[in-house]
Amino acid sequence: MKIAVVVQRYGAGILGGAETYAAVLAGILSRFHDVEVLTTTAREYVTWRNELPAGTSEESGVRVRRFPVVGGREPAWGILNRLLHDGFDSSGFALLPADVRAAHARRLRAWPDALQEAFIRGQGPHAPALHAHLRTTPYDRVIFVTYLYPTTYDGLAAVPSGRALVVPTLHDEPPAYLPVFGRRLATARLLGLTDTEVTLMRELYPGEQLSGERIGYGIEVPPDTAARIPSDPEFLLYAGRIDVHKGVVQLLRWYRALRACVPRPPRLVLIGQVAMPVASQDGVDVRGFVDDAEKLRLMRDALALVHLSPYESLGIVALEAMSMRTPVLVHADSAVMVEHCRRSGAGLWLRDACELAAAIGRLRSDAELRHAMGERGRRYVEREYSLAAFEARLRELLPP
Amino acid sequence: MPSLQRGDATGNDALGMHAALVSRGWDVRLFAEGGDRTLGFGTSSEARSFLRDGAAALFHQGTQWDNGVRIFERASGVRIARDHNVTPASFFAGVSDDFVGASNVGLAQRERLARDPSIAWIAASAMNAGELVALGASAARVAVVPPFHQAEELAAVEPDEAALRRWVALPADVLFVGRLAPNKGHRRLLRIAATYAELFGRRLRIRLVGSHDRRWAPWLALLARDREQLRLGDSIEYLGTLSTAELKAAYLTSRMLLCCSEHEGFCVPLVEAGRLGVPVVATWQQAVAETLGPDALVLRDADDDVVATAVHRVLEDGTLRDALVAAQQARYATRYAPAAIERAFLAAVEPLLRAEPSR
Repeated sequence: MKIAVVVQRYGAGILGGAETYAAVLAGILSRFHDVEVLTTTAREYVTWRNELPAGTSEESGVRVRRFPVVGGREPAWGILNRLLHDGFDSSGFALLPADVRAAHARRLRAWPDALQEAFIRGQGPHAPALHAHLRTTPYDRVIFVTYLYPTTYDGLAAVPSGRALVVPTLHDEPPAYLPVFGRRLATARLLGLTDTEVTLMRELYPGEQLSGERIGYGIEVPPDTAARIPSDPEFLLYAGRIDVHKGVVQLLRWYRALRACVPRPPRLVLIGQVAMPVASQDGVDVRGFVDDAEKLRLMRDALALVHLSPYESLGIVALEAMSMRTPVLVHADSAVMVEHCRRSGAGLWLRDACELAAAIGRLRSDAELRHAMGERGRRYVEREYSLAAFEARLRELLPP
Repeated sequence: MPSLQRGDATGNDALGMHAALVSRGWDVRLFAEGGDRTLGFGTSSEARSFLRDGAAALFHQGTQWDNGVRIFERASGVRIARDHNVTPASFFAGVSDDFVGASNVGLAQRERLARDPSIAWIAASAMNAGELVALGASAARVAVVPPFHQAEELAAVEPDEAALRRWVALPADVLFVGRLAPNKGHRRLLRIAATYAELFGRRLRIRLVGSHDRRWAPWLALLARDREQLRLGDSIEYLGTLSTAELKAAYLTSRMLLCCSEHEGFCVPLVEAGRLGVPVVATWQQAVAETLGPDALVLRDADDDVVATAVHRVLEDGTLRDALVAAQQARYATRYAPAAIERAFLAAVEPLLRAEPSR
C-alpha cells in the first residue's frame, strides 16, 4: 500500500508532539508499506520560514518530501487569534467552568466559515505544492497528523473520499471549537490517542457524523530487568516541563499541605526543563533536565509519579512511569490521565491535598498494593502503548 | 483615464496594467484628468504632447469623457481601448437626468470608437466583447482580459479590528458589495430578504457596502420605502464606503455574497469573495455568470422564492458552501490570480505594441 503521512514539520531535532508522533508512525508503517512523509521546509512554527531544502530525502529509513512554504504566519492572523481567544489563555482553557467553555463554543459557532478559515490558514504554513502533490499522486491512504494546521485542513480537501485518515491530537483548546474543523474531519477516519480524545471529538462537533476510534501510540518500554519494586521509596517524582501550565504550582501547594499533616513526608523531586521560577526548598528537590537513563532510574525508585497537569493529550510521562512499575497520582480534572488510571488500575486520581496525603499514606503502608499497581501499570503499557502494540494496531488498521 | 485612484475598479485595473508593462521593460506613463495626485500621473494636456510622438495609447473607455476621447482619437501610435462597462441610461430614467445624459454620451463614444478599425480592444468579459463586435469592432481586434483587481491586497491586509469585533458579534447572512445604484439589484435583494423571512421564519441580516450619489435621491427613496414596506427594519445595514481593512472585515464576517445585479461588465466583488472564501449566490446576468464560471450557483429565470431557498441552502449546508468556495477559488487560481491576469493582458497587448515602431 502506498501511504503518505502528512505533518506540518518533520525531521531530526524538530520537537513537538505531532511531529514526534508522525516520525514514530512513519517509521513503523514503513516496515510493511511504501511510506512517504509529506511536510514543509519549515523548522519552526511561528514564521514557518523555509530552512530545510525542498525535495526528497531519506531520513531514518523513511522517504521524506519537503515542500516550500509560500505563506507563513500572516500579519493579519494576530487580530484573528486575539478575536478567537477573546481573553482566554489557550493553555488554561480546559480548566475553565463548563458554562464558560460552552459560551465560547456558541460564539465560535456563529463565526462565518470564511472567518474560521482565515484563522486556520492565517497561522500557516501555506504550502500549495504539497496540496497539489496530494491531488495528483494516487496514494492508497493519506494520514494527516494534528488537526490544527492548513496542511491538514486543506490537505484533506485534496484527497479523494475514503482515503484520508487523521490523527487529530485534539485538545480542549479554543481553536478546536471552530465548527469547520468538524466538517472537514468528518471526511476522514479519525484516530485518537486515547478514548478521551475520541469522546472529545464527538463533544466538540455534535452535528457531524464522525468516524473515530482509538489508535493510541507506542513508546519504547524499558527492558523488564530495568524495572523493579524499590523496598522503601522515599520520594515522589514529577517529570515533565516544570511549568505553571503543567500543574506544578498546584503540586507545590498540595505538597506544602502534605508536609504539614504527614509524618516523615517523602521528598518531592522535580525533573524536566525549568520554565517557571522555582527553587529547591523544604523537601522539594528541583533537579531540572536529566538524561533518559536517570529519568527512568528516578521513575523506578519513586514512591509514585505525581502529575497534576490538566491538559495532557497523551501523558507519556505517566506511561513511562507505569512501564517502570511505579504508580501514578494524577489530577481528577485531567480526563486523559484519569483514563490511563482507570484502564490500567495503576493510578489514582485526586481532587485536593487531603486526597494526595491519603493516597501517599496508603501507598507507603501497603507494599502489596503498590506492587499490584506497578504490575498492572507495566502490563497496561505493554498491552496498549508499547511500540509492539502500536504496530499490531497499525497492521490491523492498514494490513500489509 | 478620467480619474485615477487606488481602490476603485478602474484605478486598480489601470495600475495593474501599468505595473505589468513596466515589469516587461516598457516605458509607461499614466495620464488622468483627476484623482489621487500621489500616484504621479500626468495631466490630459501632457498626454496630448506625449502621444504626439507616436507613443501607443491605452485608453480606459467608460463613462462620458469628451476630452479623453479627443486625445485618444488624435493619438498617432497604436491605439488600444480598455472597455469599462457603461451602465445603460435606462437604469437612470426618472432617477437622474445627469446620469442618463452621461450614460448615453459614454455609450455613443464607445460606439464611435468601436467602428474605428484601427483601434484594438480589451474587454473585461466575453459579454462586453460581444457588445463591441455588435457595435462594429472586428472580432479579431477584441481580446478578453479580466480586470486587474485588489483581491490579493484584501487577502493580505489586516482586517480592521474594531469593525471585525463589531460585525462578528452579529455576522451578516448576506453581503453585497457595489455602489448603491439602480442597476445593482438592491431592490430585488430586499424583496428576496422579505421572501426569506416568509419562507424560513427569520430575517436575514444583510450588509450593503458601497458608495451612493445624491443625484440618485429618487431611487434611494424607493429603496428606503421598500425597506419600510417589507418590514426589514434594522436587519439591513448600509455600511457606505469602506477602507480596504474594513472591507476585509466585512467579507470575513459574512456568510455569503448575494449578487442580484442587473447589469455588470465583470463584477470584481465576485472575485474578491472567492479569494476570501465567501460563497456567492447570484441571479443570472451574462457577465456575472461568466465571471463566476460553470460551477457556480447562478440562478437563471429564478423567482424570489427560488433565490431565497438557494440562500437558505448555502447558509445551512456546509458541504455545499465548501463546494461553491472550492469552485470559486479554483476559478480564481486559473483566471483571476494576478499572474493569470498579467499573462492574459501581456499576451493581448504586447503583440499590438510590437506591431508598430512607436514603442
